[in-house]
Amino acid sequence: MFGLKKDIHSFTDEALIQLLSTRRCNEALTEIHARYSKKVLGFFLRMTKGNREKSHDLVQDLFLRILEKHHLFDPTKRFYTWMYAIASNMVKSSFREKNHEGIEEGSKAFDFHHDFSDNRLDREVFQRLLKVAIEQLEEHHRLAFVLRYMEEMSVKEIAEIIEQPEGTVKSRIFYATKKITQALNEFIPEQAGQHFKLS
Amino acid sequence: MGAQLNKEQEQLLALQEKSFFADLTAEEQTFVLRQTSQDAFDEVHKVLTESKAIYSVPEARPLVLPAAAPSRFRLMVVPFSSGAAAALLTFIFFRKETIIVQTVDKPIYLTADTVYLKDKIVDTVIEYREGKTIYVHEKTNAHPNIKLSEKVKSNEILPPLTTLGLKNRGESMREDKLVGIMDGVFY
Repeated sequence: MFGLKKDIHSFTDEALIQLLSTRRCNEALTEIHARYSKKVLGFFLRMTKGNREKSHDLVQDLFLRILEKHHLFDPTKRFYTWMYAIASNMVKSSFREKNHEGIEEGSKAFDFHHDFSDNRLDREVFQRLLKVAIEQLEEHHRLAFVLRYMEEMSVKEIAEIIEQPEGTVKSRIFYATKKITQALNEFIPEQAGQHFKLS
Repeated sequence: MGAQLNKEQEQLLALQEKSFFADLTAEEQTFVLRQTSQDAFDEVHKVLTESKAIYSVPEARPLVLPAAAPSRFRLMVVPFSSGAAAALLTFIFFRKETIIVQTVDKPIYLTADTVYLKDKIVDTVIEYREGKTIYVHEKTNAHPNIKLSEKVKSNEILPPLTTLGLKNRGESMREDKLVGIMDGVFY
């Protein structure tokens, strides 16, 4: 019907971005937030080693950046990957700040090793060890791993987000996985095997 | 570390993402065993599948929007009929003002004396518009730089011609034989 506002929920992500230049800006941004806030919060949690406060702040900052930089969005590309590109850059900046502040206190590996020594390697313990192993990865390996297996993105999408060739993305995923299994084997020495014959 | 994977590594990674060792085809299992052990393969697959569930993600906090700067322009709601009428009037009054300019990217230089154009591509339309004629009266106080060659000043009364002693060098029409054939002239 002419003259009636189109329902905001029916807009695509890309159309919502276009609305950020109009009077419906707040409405559009709120809708984008509703669609993706939980997902990007999960991403930030995984990248900040589970720091909730920091992750909530990063989510808030991310959406304000989307509002500020929406004119830089290339409409021929997907909003989803563009948003993750901003988010991963924010994480990188956050890492740099953190490196100046100093690395977080102590490895948690020792504590988990203690759990394991009781021979109670159930799924929960495995997940806790896995979490530590992922958190110990270098930032670029962790980013590739998180985007691939936690955010469930394709290699092509990751390549677009981190602005690297697909081959580099695959390589980072492969070596991230290798490092995680090596770390797990350090936590669980008796399980250690010849996991990778490949160099 | 940052080097590209070789074909075998890529294939192994793809299989590790796909399933546990037991769920692979015989051919795939053979390939895997050439690269790594069954336990190691299964462990990687377990890592990949379990990693999805290691963080519980809470709901995000509500978005805090920045306070908007007050606008200098106020929103005016105009009824559709008024808007349409205004648009129509604007069109009627200003339609003559519409000038379409076609820009030709590259000029064409002729290399022949005569060119026959099959199709007329561009028309030049000259629009004549009514204008107002303005007469400009110019005045100057400066004296023209011309030497007067008159012997007698033009503003003085000249003497009668008879006093100038001029000789009559013409011939009398009485002697003119052709006068007779001129209509209406009689002597």
